[in-house]
Amino acid sequence: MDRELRLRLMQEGLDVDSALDRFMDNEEMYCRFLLKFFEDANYGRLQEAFSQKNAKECFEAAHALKGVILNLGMDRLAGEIKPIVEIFRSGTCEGADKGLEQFNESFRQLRDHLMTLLA
Amino acid sequence: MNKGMILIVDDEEINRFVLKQAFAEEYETPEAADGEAAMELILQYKDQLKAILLDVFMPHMNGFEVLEAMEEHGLLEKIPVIMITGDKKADVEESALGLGAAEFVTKPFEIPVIQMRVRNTIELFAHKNEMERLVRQQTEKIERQKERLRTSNYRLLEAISTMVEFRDLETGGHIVRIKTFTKLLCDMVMKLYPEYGLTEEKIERIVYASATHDIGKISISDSILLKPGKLTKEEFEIMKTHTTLGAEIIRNLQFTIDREYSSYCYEICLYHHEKYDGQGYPMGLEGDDIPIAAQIVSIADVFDALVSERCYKKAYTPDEAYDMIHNGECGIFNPKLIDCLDRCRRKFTREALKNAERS
Repeated sequence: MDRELRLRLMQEGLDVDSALDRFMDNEEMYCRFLLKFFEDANYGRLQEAFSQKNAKECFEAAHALKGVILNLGMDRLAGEIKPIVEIFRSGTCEGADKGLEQFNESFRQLRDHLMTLLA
Repeated sequence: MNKGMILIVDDEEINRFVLKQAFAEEYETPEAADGEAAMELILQYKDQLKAILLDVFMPHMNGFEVLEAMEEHGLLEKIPVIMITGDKKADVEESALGLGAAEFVTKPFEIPVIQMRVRNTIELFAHKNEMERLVRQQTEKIERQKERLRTSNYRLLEAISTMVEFRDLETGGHIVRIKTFTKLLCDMVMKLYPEYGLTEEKIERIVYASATHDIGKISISDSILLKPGKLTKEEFEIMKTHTTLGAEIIRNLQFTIDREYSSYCYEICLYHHEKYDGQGYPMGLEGDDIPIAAQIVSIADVFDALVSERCYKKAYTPDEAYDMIHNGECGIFNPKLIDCLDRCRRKFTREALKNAERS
């Protein structure tokens, strides 16, 4: 991974160093999983569950996403999903709308940027 | 040497990948994406698995359910489970610990920390299992030694009893036969009269204890013990003391290894001349106030005395002996034991005739 790419990724809110530690410096796999993340079934599951106001499903999906986000070092997304997970954990979807909207926006943005960067 | 195995269970591929990377050098690392698949692998590899890294929230069967299933198979004792929790939430950890999880790791993964925790947990479990194996081994050894000590106790008292018997009887056969008759009667009592609470273990002790019934005769003088004719009233009074003296001897021996056995010895020595109607000695106990072990040995003793030749009498045939016992010529016995005697008649006769052939 060249310096340029590393900087760009960091600008996208990624803690590249910690993540690469976790991936034992396997940069290729790290980049693959960064892109693969956007196909994670839990993302769709979260939207679906939220439209049905199923807090338990929302929690499980969001919680799983959070784990992956943390492991990939996506610090900005992590900061946005954490409060939503806590709302769902308390057994309700009430008050998660705005947070989720913001998270979805960041998710899409990051996806678009990474697809360009890592293509 | 074969690599040990660590099972990685997480529904997120990236989490599995990261963990796999961390352990692949040292371990084989099969993976499962949900609880059901995990349980299949756990049962398949239960002897190779050194640890399981287990996510909490998964589709189909979650981490808690996997813990419960492992508990049902008795595997939590054997294989340490390290739970992957999303974050440090006390309630999740409490539930997991309650269900038998050994350790926790949190997301995001700190690889060196996880490697250390897993290694420590594996070592701890190996150590624990080894300790348990040693304790089990030692316990078995102690049990075997206790058993040996117990039986050598039985044999010691039996040897002393046989020596005592040699003073008035010519062979040691009485004690062997008393044990045989006692065993036959005990088995029948256990089968027909459960109210007496006999068990295989109790019977074993009663049978060994029956050998000591006349141990008190050691203190009866030759002039009385070996007198060919009928005893005078005074002599008989002295003869009767073999019961209380026998009990005293047993009490003083204070066997601590098997209290149940020594208390059977005590009861049998003291009460084996009591009669069901209260006309026996030394206490004149009546009915089931006489301990069942003493009642059983009493019939066995009377029957063997009748069918054997003694310095003061000829041997009766087994049939004569039954009649005499039934007629109350040798005192009154518990009707339930008479019933048992009747049902043992064939076997008693066979034993008695074996003895008659020998002498």
